[in-house]
Parts: sequence; structure tokens; C-alpha cells
Amino acid sequence: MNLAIDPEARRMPAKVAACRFDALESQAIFKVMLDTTSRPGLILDLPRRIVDRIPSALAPLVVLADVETRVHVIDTPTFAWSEAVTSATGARPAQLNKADLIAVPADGREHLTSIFTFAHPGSAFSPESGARLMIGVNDIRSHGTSDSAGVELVIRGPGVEGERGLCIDGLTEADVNAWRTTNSRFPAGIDVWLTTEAGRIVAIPRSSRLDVVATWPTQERK
Amino acid sequence: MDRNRRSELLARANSSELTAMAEAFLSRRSIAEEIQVVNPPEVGMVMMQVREPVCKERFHLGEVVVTRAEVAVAGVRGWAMRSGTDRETTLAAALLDACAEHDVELAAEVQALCERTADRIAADERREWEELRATAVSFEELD
Amino acid sequence: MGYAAARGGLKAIEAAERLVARERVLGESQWLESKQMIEKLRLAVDRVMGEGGLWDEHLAASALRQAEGDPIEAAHLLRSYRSTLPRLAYTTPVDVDDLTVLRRIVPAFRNPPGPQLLGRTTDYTGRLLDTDDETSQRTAAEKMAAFIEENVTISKAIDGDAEPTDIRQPRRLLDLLRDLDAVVDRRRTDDPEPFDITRHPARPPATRSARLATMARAETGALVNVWYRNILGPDGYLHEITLGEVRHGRLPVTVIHPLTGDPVSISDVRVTEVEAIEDLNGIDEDRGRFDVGYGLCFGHNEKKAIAMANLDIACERDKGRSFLEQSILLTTDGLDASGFLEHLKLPHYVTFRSMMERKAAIRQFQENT
Repeated sequence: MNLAIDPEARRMPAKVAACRFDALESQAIFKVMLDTTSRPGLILDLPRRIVDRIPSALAPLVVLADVETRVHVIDTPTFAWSEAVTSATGARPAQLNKADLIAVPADGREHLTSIFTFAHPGSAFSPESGARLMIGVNDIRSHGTSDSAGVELVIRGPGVEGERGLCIDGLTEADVNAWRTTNSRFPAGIDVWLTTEAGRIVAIPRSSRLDVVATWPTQERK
Repeated sequence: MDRNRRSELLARANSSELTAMAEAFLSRRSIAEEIQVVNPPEVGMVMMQVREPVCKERFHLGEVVVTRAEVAVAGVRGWAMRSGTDRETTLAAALLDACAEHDVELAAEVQALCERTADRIAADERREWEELRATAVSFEELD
Repeated sequence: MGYAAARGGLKAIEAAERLVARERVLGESQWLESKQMIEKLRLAVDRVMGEGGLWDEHLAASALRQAEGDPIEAAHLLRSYRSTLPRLAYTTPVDVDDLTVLRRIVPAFRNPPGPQLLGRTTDYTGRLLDTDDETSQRTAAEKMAAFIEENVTISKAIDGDAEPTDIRQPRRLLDLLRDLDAVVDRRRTDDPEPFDITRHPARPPATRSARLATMARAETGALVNVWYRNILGPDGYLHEITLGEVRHGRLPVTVIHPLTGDPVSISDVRVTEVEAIEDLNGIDEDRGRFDVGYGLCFGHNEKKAIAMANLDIACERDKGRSFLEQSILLTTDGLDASGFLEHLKLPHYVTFRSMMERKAAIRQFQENT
């Protein structure tokens, strides 16, 4: 006789297992994070086998999470991963302003302005305690096109020769303004990775200067 | 026996008993086809926090080597953590924990194993005390 | 004597390692089993776990074998190994009142609550080197084992009829002193987060949790030395305490079950615990009462726990006036000290060459003036 179990709980073990990376997988994701952070605004790809397994925005978070980190994963009706992440990594769930690592899915966009505002930037004495954000967006491109949506950014600073353009479908100008405010007390600040469902990833660390050069209405998510 | 007590006893059960029962369960198709290793056995440490009596303060005594694993059977999760570095036995313990949650019949077998373990621990402790009690000092009053 | 970058020595290193392996692993005797060390060299294994800051008897025994019996080197191997392991969890705060005693003596007080239980010890036996051959020693030990067998009567297995907890978990002398209002009360209610010495180096002024954690994994000889030089040596700030509790026993390792959220005890570790009663006599102290220092370390290591307890209360009273806290935090770690010392054996050809040249330049200057 099997005991009854609700469908969501039944999916949970598979989700926890998906959040377990072996050493090579962890290394591959970490390498991409390192490469993107060293060259802010450069668009790279997460390993295919990872993107097939878990939502892209979670990959960088899971790689960094362990029992000593505090995480805040936004759950939405289509994205319920917070329990799996804490279960697989042992990380402690925390409020937004206490979290070391924060993940936001692409359909959690309405929270973004407050996340950029309240994420913990650390302090001048301990900049290492600034939060790291992993944010799912609809699309990331290096140049705007006629069907562009969202914001077009110009990035300057260490790791960028001159300046680098970036179009993000999934961010608003208000989001970017909140982000810039939080990062205005360098070396305190937040480091951000943006990812798409297809596994594109770009980093904008706190050392980068951000300017919005154009905005378009963000496309409705299909 | 509640789930917490079962985990405590699976953590202390004999390795050979655990692996033999896990293999017997795995030979059932209903288990073998539904099993999923959620967290493969992993050797790591737990930091031992103690509360001392003078100021009632916590401090870190040191770390303890443990192995933990998590297994699901038909979506029902089972967990085990044992001291030491024995991955196979820890995986077996997690499997038994999941089976006991999943299936009433198997739960009875796991419970029997846990009860044997509890009896063995109690017998060891009684024996230990019987040996130790001879070392308790009885003083003679001197005039 | 010009300098040229050079490499080499690999073949010599490999040959040196072969010589060690031949004797250590083969020799003319049997393979040294871990179980043998855990049973028969118990105190060495315990010391390695304590100084390595890692509880695992089998790994500690392997380290001791690999280090050819050098406990500091073995603790070093254990620390290296621990640096490769992930931290999976923290235990729930384990109350030391949950210690199940294997030995418990109260030197301060003849009739404490609970027994004066000597346990497994030769503390009260003459220190006579046993020069008998193995057969005679074996015969003598077999007689003792037979005596134990004859005299141990195992009480019947009746549920709930185990030995009363006040014998295996006796009330501590500190509690009795508190009942008598004979001890200053330093109990805190704010429960500060403990300092993690494995993540941040502890530096003065440190929290008490940092000092206790540092001493719990300090090198035994170093801790005893800091204690002794403060008792008899030039630093001279320490009182000789009276020992309240000296205990050796088992503490449960309790973690949160991830699926139920409740604490579960998955294992035990053996620890040595000491309470040191201090006679307060300073003008700014409560001279009508005692204070108490605390020592706790992995394994059976009474020397270390006693030194730790005495140093704990000494540090508390010293309040940073002397170098005591600095000595404890910065100079008692075996890995720190021996690692620094051992590095002196590495080639220093370049630094020494530069020192030679400076000497020559100074001589030349002296001769010319």
C-alpha cells in the first residue's frame, strides 16, 4: 500500500536532484561566471546540459550556495524552486535584505525595483558581504534592433574597453535607477548576472558604470 | 516509532544489516523502478556547536566527519546522515528511510531493524555501566 | 657565487619518500592497523582529533600511521584533509549537561552530586615501566579481563530501567556552588553568535567563544606551556585553580532533520570537560565568591582540558592587561607553529645570498673607513 502524496511534493525530489551539480558541472558554470564578471556586458552561454535541467537564473545561485550562505529565491506560479534550492544546497532561506544570493525568475519582474533597492550592498568595511543577484530576463542582445524591447544600456568601467552596449528585454528604467542607487557607494554594492531561458548570461558587477541610453516597452512574456 | 527516532537509529545501525536490507528492498521491482537518488552520498562535516555552563555561551568545539544522502521512492523522500565516510551504508540508510515512508509493509521491516539497533545500544550501555560502576569510589570515614 | 635560477631535486624527493614508505608500510613488523591504534594508542588518536579539530577516529588513526607517530604532523594531515570537505551543517547547540560520563572526578569536593567515578585510568597507579615480556604482560592482562567478566553482572533488560541519569549525567559542581550562592553569576541571556576560527583568524580583543574554540583545537604541549609559564614562569599572572569537574564522556551530535525540521542525534563524540574554580581576590572583584573557568576538547585529553579551563578564567580576569590572550590566540595552534618552523627547512638560497652580499658590503665599507 502506497501512501498518498500530493503532486507538487512528488515533483520535489526531481527538482532537488536537478539542483545537484557534480564537480565538473560546478566548475563549468563557475568559469562562465568568472568570464562574464571579468568582461562586464559580454554575453556568453551557460552549459547546455545545465540549462536543460534547471532554470538559467538558478544555475549561478546554486553554484555559490552552501550551508553558510543565505538565499532568497522568488517563487512565482510558474517557478517554485526555493525549497528545492535550500534542500539541495543546505543554504538558509532569508529575507530579501538579509540574503547573500538572490534569484528572480523572468516572470517575477514586478519585484525587481524593490529587489534592486533592498538587496544588501555590504559596506565599505566588508564589501564582500554585498548580495549577488541572478535575474531571469526575456532576452539579452548586444545591440538594439527594430523590434527591441526593454532598456538599452551602456556599460563602462574595469573589464570594458571604452564602452559596451547591451539591450535587456525584461528590465525597466526604474529598475536600473534603483540598481544604480544601490551601487552608488562603491566598494559596497551588488553584483548582478542576467540570464535568459535559453541560457545566455551576462554579468554586470558593482564596478561597472551603467547608463540607460534608450527604453522600449517590455514585451509581454509568452 | 516516529520518523526522527528512526533516523537516529538508522544512523547508528550496523553497516551489514543496513546494506543487506537495502539490497533486499532493491530486488523488488516496485522499489527498483521508482527509486531516485536525490542527493548522492556526500562526505562532509558538521560543525559542533556546544553550550558551555559558565556563561551559557555557544562556541565551536570542532567538526565531525559525516556522510549524508537523500533518496526518493515514488517521490517520497528519505534522508540519512551517519558519522564517518561510508557512502554505501549511508545510501542504504536513506533508501530504508524512504521505503519506510513509502510503504507500510517495508516500514515494519525497517522498524524491526531499528528496534534491534536500539536494543543493542541499550545492552552496550548497560554493559558499559556495569563495568564502570566498579570504579566508583566509596570513601571510609576516618576517626 | 652568482645566482642562477635552478630546479631539480625531484628524483631525490622520490627516493627519500621511498625510504619512508618501505619502513612505514612494510618494515619487519606487521601492518599497523587503524583499529589497533584506536584501541591501543587511544590517547594519541584522541590528541590528533583534538588538535586537528576534526572528529573521526579512523581518519585520525590513518594520519598517525602516515605521520610515523608524530601527533603534530598527524593533526596537520587531518587539517589538510578537512580543508577538502564541505561543511554540510551545524549541530544544534549541544548542551554539555547532556554529557554521558565514562569518568568523572571532582577534586574540590568529596561528596558531589553523583559519583566520583574513576573510569578507565591509571592516574592512581604507580608509574612503573613494565619490562616483562609480551607473554607475561598478556597473561597478566588476561587475568584482569577474566576478573572483569566474573564481577560484571549485567542487569536484566527491562525497558526504562537503565541506570538513573543522575549517575551517568550527574549534576555539576558549578550548579551546587550556585545553589550555595558561592559563585559569581556570568550567565548571559543574549546568546551571541559563536566566532568561527575556521573562517576568520581570532585576534585580540576576541570574544570568549573565539578563545574557547582556539584552545579546543590548540596543540596540547603549547597550551600546557602557556599555562605553566603563567603559573611559574616570567608571566606569572595565573592562579592555581581548584578542579571542580574533570569528566570524560560522550556528547550527542545533533543536527536538524531536513525533512521534519526536528533535531536528531546521529552520533556521539567523546570529549574531556573541566571546570576550574578560581579564588577571586582582586580589589575590583567579588571576593566573597568564586568564579569558574571552562575547558572542553575532543577525545580523552585531561592535560589539555585542565590547561584550557585555567586559561579561560585567567583570560577573563586579565581583561587584556597582559599578553595572555594574545599568547593563547596566536601561539598555541600546532599547525601555525609547526608549519612556520618547518618552512625554515625549505631552500632559502636567494634570501641568504642577499644577506651575504649585505654583510660583504658592510665589511668593505668598514675596511675603507
